[in-house]
This record gives sequence, structure tokens and C-alpha cells, in this order.
Amino acid sequence: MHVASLPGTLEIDVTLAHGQIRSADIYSSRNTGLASHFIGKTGGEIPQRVRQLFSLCGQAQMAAARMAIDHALGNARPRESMVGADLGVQAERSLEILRSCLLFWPWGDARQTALEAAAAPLHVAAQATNTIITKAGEGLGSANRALILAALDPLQGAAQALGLTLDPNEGSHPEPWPGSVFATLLAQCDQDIFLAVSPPDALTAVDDEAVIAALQADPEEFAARPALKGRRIETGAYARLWDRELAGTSFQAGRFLARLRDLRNCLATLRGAAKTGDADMSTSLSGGEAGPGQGFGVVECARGRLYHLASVDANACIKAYAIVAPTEWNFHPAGPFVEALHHVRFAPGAQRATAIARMAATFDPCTAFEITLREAAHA
Amino acid sequence: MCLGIPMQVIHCEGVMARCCTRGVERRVSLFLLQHEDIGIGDYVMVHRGEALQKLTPAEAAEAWAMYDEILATPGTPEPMADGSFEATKN
Repeated sequence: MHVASLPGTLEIDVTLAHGQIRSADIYSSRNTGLASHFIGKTGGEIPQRVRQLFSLCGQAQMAAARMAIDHALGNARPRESMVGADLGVQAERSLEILRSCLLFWPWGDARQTALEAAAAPLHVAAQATNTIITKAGEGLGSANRALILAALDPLQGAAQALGLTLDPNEGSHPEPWPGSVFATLLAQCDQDIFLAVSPPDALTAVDDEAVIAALQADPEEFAARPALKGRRIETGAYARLWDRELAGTSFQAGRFLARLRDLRNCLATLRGAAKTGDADMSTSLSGGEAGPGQGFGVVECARGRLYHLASVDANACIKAYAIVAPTEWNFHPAGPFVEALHHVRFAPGAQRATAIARMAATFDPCTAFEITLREAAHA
Repeated sequence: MCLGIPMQVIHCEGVMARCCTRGVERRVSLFLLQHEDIGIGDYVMVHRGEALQKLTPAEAAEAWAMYDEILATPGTPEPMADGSFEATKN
């Protein structure tokens, strides 16, 4: 095994001229062909395998796999099982928003203070999330729902301790309370960069048919570099929640506030589903048949819309499998992150690499990234 | 994709650890697990240099069995200790 290089990262290559960005490119060495490994396995094995493989979004991957395989096999899953899956996804999404915002934010000098303040709430949130996922997976009888509701309190409390405001009267963007870790993060968002870009071109359920058709046509290429003709698609909290109010904020602050709004929505959805045992899953889980012996599953996870496409044979074994992860849309070589880079104007004295790292973090990739800055040869 | 790699802790110093898997060592943050009892010999799931959860030896072995199966597929690169894979050229 050689470890000479650092593979599996997004490489962000930026050329500067007169201190501003002249061009930006992105290269990915991430493996998007893992799903081919599922070929020949029985359909029933895949959900647990993807849950184990994908460390940040195992619940979302498992839910998408189950839906894709169920539809490929022509099986119908009971609604209670779907609601339980949705609860698991919403809980994982909540934790991942917290974890990603705090752990993978380029804090600079503020890192130590921020992470010390975040340690205990993150621990509480992780424990509560595990309880919710476990109980939701066991079934949604009244005893389990009571335990889920009880676990929601510390999860919500952890989010509030980090700065989340929950009162709807405080506006649809949950501005973090002053002095909180999230308030520090928000203040850093626009320290070094000014930019104005178009509203996001959101990936929605309306696009599912086109995405599945493109994935069927060329699974390897589309999974690695998904794109729909004439579109610069973005997925994730900012794309799904963008509105006039978020448009009124600066670009990076808006992106962070959208994640806080998403977190608040997830907590409300969890509470509602735990109380009633049912949920409106129309915007979080979907799937369907994609031809004879083929099915797809779609899950809105923390980073956006996740697609699984499965094809099974007469023995219920996998013939073909493909996954499209949200990061591939947002960090496509001609995608929204690269486009935003072209609109960046650095503030005087800005730490350019840090500023770009913060911008990348607001797009929330699910993998490591490296930034290379170079001066144009004849600037 | 957000792959996690199971690694074994071989040295602890505060919230940082040296972890090892398949002969490869990495410096790993135990920040998220600092409220748990993590010591030398324990297994953790690592992503982007962060230990995300403690694993039992059986869970680590099961995850590695899955990776070994993937690695046995022609053209599949070896997983790296920072939680990533080299690009596959099919």
C-alpha cells in the first residue's frame, strides 16, 4: 500500500492576477465507482453495506439503497418503516449539520476556543442522535416514540447551546445568539470575500426523471461528474431553502444561515413525527421503478440530494448499481462552487487561501479538499 | 463519498492519537470522542482525520472484510488511511 500522494480529495486550483482570482479549476480524485462492487450481491445485503461504508451519511445511504432495491424487486415497504427511515435520516442530517459546521470549518486562530465550546454539545448531540436512529429503526410504537421525544430534547439543547435560535418569531433565518460559537462562525463568513452570484439552480424532485435517465445512460461518467444540459445545479440546504430573505444576506452568510434553518426544520420534523408516528416524506424520501428490474431511491441528506439506482436479476441479485452523491454536483468542474469562485473579490489584506477554504466549507463537501494558489505568469 | 476507515489507536496524547491500519499510520483527532474511554488498542472509524466513532474489534474486522472484498475487485485502488480511495481508472 503506498501513501505517497493524498488521493481522494478535491483539488481546488486557483490562479490569481493582481491579487484577484483570474481562473479556478477543480479536480477530484474521489472514488465514485464503489457501487460496482455490489454487483452479484443479493439486494438485501446492500443497505447494511452502504450504512457501514459511508461514515457521515450512513442512514441516508441505507434509506436510498432500500428504496432503490425495493422498487427494483417490486416490493412495497410499510409506511411505518419509511417513517422510521425518515426519522433516522433527519436525525443524522441534524447531527451532520452540527458536526460539519463546527469540525470542518477553517476556524484559523479561533479554532481552539470554538472547539472547546463545541465539545460537550457535540457529544450530547451524537448520543441523542444515536438513540433516535436506534429507536426509529426498531419501530414507532408509543414506547419508542416516547424515547425518541426524550432524546430530542438534548439534541435540540445542544444545537441551542451552540447558538441555534428556535423561536419562529425570531425570523425564518435563525440568526445565532450573540457570543455563541455559531455567531463567531457567521462573523467569519464574510471577513475576506465579497461576491454576488445568481440564485442557486436547485436540484429538486422535478429533476429526478432526468437524473435517473442520465445515470442509466452513462453511470460511471454521470456519477463522477453529474450535470443536466443548460443547468449549473446546486444541491443542499442553500439550494433547497433559498428565498428572498436569504438573498438579502451576503452569499456566504446566507449559505451558513440556510444550514441553520435546515437544522431547525429537521428538529421540527423529528418532533412532529415522534409525536404522531407519521411524517410528510414528500421532500425527504422518494423512489420508484426505473424500468424492468430497476429501481431508484432519492434522499435529501445533509449535503443535498442523494441518488441510488439499482438493477436486479431474476435471482434478486444486483446486476448494476450506481450512486450519485451531492458533493459531485456542487464541486463539479463547471458547478456552482467554481462559478462562485469566479465572482470572488478579496478584501484588502485578506488571507486568500483561508478565504477560499471558508467558501469551500460553506459548500460543505463530504471529503477533504486542498487549495493551490498560483500567480498568473503574465499578470 | 464520505468513506470511513477503521483504524487502531497505537498512541494517545490528549485529544490527538496515532492510529494505524494495514501498516499505515496517521495522526487522528479524538476530539469527538473525548468524552469516551479511548485507549491504546481501541478501534475508531476515521474520516478526514477525525475519529467519528468507537468501534468494537468485531465491527472493525467486519468493515475491513468489506474493504478487502472491494480491493479484490480488479481496478479498485487501495483505501488510504485518511479515509479515501485513489481514483479508479476503468
